[in-house]
Amino acid sequence: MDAQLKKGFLEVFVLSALRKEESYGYKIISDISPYIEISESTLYPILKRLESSGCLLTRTKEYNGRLRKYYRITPQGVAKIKSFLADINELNRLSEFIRRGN
Amino acid sequence: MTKYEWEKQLKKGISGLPKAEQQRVLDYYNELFADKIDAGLREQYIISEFGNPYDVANKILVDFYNGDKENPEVDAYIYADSDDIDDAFDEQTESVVETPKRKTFAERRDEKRAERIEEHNEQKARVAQSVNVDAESESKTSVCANNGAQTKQNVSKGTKSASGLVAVLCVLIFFVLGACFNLWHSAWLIFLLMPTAVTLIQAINRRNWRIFAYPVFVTFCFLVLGFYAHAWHPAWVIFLTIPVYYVLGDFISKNVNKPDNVKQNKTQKQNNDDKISNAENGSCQQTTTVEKSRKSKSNTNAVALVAKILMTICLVSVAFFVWGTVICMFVSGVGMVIGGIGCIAGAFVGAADWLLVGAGIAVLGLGLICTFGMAALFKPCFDMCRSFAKTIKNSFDGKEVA
Repeated sequence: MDAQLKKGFLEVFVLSALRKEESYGYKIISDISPYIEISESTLYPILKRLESSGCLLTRTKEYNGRLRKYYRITPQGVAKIKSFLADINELNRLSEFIRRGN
Repeated sequence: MTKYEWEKQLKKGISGLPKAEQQRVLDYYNELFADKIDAGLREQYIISEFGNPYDVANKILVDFYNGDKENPEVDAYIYADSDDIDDAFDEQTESVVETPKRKTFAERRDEKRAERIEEHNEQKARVAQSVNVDAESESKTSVCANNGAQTKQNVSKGTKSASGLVAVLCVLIFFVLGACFNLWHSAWLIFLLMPTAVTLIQAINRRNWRIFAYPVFVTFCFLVLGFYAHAWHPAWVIFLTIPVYYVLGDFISKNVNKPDNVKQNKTQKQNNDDKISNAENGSCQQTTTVEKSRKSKSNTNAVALVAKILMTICLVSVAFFVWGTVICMFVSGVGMVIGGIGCIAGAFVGAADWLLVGAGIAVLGLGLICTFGMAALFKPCFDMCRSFAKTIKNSFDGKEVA
């Protein structure tokens, strides 16, 4: 997959992984990796970017005697997913045109 | 690499970031590490999944500064398209960046230089047909030089595994020859092959023929000829080849072994610099310099080619010998297992003969040891062959450079 295209997809994938419940780094990677290739070093900037753009909220919680950072989606993040889905519909129309050839 | 070492290197790599950001990155990776450990993964596996700490640091730095384009230093880092900017970055981070990180930028710079040389060569080829600089060999040289350290590492790893393999094989062959053919009295000669084979591999990898234990090899040949052919008298002549070998070895080392990884790196860099400066001047001096250097090296090329072909033949022979032995012993092991089972089954089909059962169990055990032992050697054998192939490839790449 094209790198730029993948980059756009990854952010929405991360947000989708958090749509049902809050989650943490390792679980996000585990949830996403069956669908799209993602590494730890790729996830970090995505989480940071989403957090700074207000799509995610974080909180630290104790787990097993250590601190773990949990990420939660915000209404802004949900809006981003919706906007992406609208774009995808548009893309589907375009891809249909490309496939048909006229 | 342990987690502590990985973290230490990552810390060094991101030391240019603000303290808070550094802590955030470290916390992120610590948390991931702890989660993976909880999930039952091993430390080494996790570290390998994280990847090279300098690459990770690079990624974080690029991303961090990407959102802060107002900072000119940042722009210099992200949009480091020119050599000047790269150099500026190197200077800025001199106190912070350690060797591996600098390498990344040095590699990028070398690649860029190689590209510029290629472009220049193409341009020159269009303008004047007489200029014929092989751009492809330049790029190959660059790649070869950039990967020099990695290749060296692979070769040394291959040498170690090959040495271990040779030692194990010698011991195994000694016991097999002794136990199966009662050759305890003469099979010890096989141990003389141990230093011979190991030093041969080292000599080939380091391209230093003095390392090879040629006198030991000659002694081995002399003893074999003496014991088995009773040719003590004419066989002593082979000892006279020892001084000849060292004279030839010196000659080859001096004249052929120039394209060492390090030297190659240096000369390539120097050549690149020369060519770039020539390209900038727009003069034809480049062609004449290259032609001159090619002429001076052409004399050694023939000798180098012969040496490389000999080396290839030696390596292929060693590989065939090792694989032949391993496969033969593996097949023998399988045969012994079948024989042992047959003995035991035979003893029970007729009147139970406990002596036959005992012999069957012994043969079966030996066969199992032989089979599994040889099967375990398959991977080191593959590693060894891979390192041989790399050595041969490197040597012939070196030939192209010369």
